[in-house]
Amino acid sequence: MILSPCVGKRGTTLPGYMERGYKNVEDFILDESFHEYVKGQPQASVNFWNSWVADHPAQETAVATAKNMLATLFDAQKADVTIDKQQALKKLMRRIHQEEQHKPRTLFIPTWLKVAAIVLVTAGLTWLAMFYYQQQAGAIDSMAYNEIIVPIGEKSQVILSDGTQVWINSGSHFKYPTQFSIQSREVLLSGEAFFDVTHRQGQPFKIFTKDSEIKVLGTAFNVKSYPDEVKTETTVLRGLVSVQGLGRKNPPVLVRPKQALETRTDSLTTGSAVKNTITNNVNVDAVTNWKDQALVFADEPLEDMAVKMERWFNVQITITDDALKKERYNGKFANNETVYQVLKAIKLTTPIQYKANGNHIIISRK
Amino acid sequence: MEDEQGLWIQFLKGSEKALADIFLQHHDDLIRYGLKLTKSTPMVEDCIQDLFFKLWKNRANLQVVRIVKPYLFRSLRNHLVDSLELQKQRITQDLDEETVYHFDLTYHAKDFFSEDSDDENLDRVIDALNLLTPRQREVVYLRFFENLDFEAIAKVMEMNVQSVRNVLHRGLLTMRKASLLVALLCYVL
Repeated sequence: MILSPCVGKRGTTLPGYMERGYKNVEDFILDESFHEYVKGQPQASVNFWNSWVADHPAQETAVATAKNMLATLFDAQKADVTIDKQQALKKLMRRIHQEEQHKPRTLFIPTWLKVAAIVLVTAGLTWLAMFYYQQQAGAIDSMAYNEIIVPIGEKSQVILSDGTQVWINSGSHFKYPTQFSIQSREVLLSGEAFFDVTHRQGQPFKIFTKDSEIKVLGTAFNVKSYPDEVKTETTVLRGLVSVQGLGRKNPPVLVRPKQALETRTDSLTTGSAVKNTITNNVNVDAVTNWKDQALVFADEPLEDMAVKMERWFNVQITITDDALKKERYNGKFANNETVYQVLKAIKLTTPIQYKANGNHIIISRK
Repeated sequence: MEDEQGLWIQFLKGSEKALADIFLQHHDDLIRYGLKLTKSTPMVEDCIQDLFFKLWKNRANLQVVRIVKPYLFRSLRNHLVDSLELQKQRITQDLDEETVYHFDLTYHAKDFFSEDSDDENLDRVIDALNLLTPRQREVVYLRFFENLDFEAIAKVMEMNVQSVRNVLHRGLLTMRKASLLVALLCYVL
């Protein structure tokens, strides 16, 4: 029986490896002295493990694996912190000093001075407000827009001037300013897009769709609002999103991670009677997978799948059987798979037949 | 770590210089750790300010600690959890525990590595880390990235040392079982 050396942190004696019976990669990784061996100091640990490895040739692979894994984890660089710590420290010190010096004092101000002060402040505010509105009007006029029109069967991706990433799905229309204004970031969407919005304090990001205004701070989420569907679907991956129907005074609805909000507007022209439905525990992956170039169906009825497939493959699909329209499927298709591969997959479980007439595919029950 | 304890004692005695030194020493690590618990930078910044402000105000009642980092990490964690709770109560009532933990207290595996390293194996490493539960990821982060030992991690996460070992062990096992360790190795070689 060999005794292990005293090399643990703060002088704790390590239990002998014999009692532990180290066999698995994890056993080594969990041992503090093994970390020291990988890092190369202190020498006592290095010597100990060198002789241990020599004594246990059977464990060579496990030791090598553990060594490599630890080295990877130690090597992983820390992300940079962009916050100025000197500034943060100043803020803290100001707060501490304020607290310590805070002794309420009363000042005697003559009434005439109070009146004069109020008049001055009011005049100043009026001037400021006028200045501000003039500025704003100017800003909107001079704003240059970019427009992305994504044809059916294709996808696009764009990075906006603030670093926000947008993936745009087929058959969509996306309009955004080349440079955002100081007060807010506003874009227009018709169709489907996935947003990964850069957080900017005091400069909210707003997306206008045919029927809603979606307001966010820093977050990732999917918006589906095609002009041919009387609804807008907002699905959140992370962060918090506020959706408000346009037109009437609709209260904003908050959507959180793994939730989907469906906003239905009965009449797009009057914007009346908005119906909001929140679904919890949504499979966000299935909703946003389109951006990773995969066609995904998550327990969806065939009629919804047909709409997706029409956009994806740039075809027209007609289903002749009403019961068939309601059949539900799960599935995931790679970017290079054809519409016929999807149809064949459906055929495996359901007796269907299909025929193609140019771009038009007709699906019927066998 | 004699220095660290000495600095802490100076701070307890009322030295602003010691407070500033401690603040600057741990600021970046605290920001990084905080941002693993929530994505909101302003919230993390506020909590760090509050944390040090309260430390200063209550310094007469504080104890001498041997290593400061786990102590600060745990305090920040408590502050953040409180803020998140408060925010949760303010915004909604119908939020279940699971949603909060998965979102706000999730370690995003991507953040483990700096963004400019675009090795293709990196994705597989990230996949490996993504297999872990938030708790396992937190332990991996504290153990390997912040180099805290089991005792310190136990303090930060308010668990016992054996549970920390178990959580890490299960995490490592998950990664290995999925043969993603191979990916980790490729990344190294």
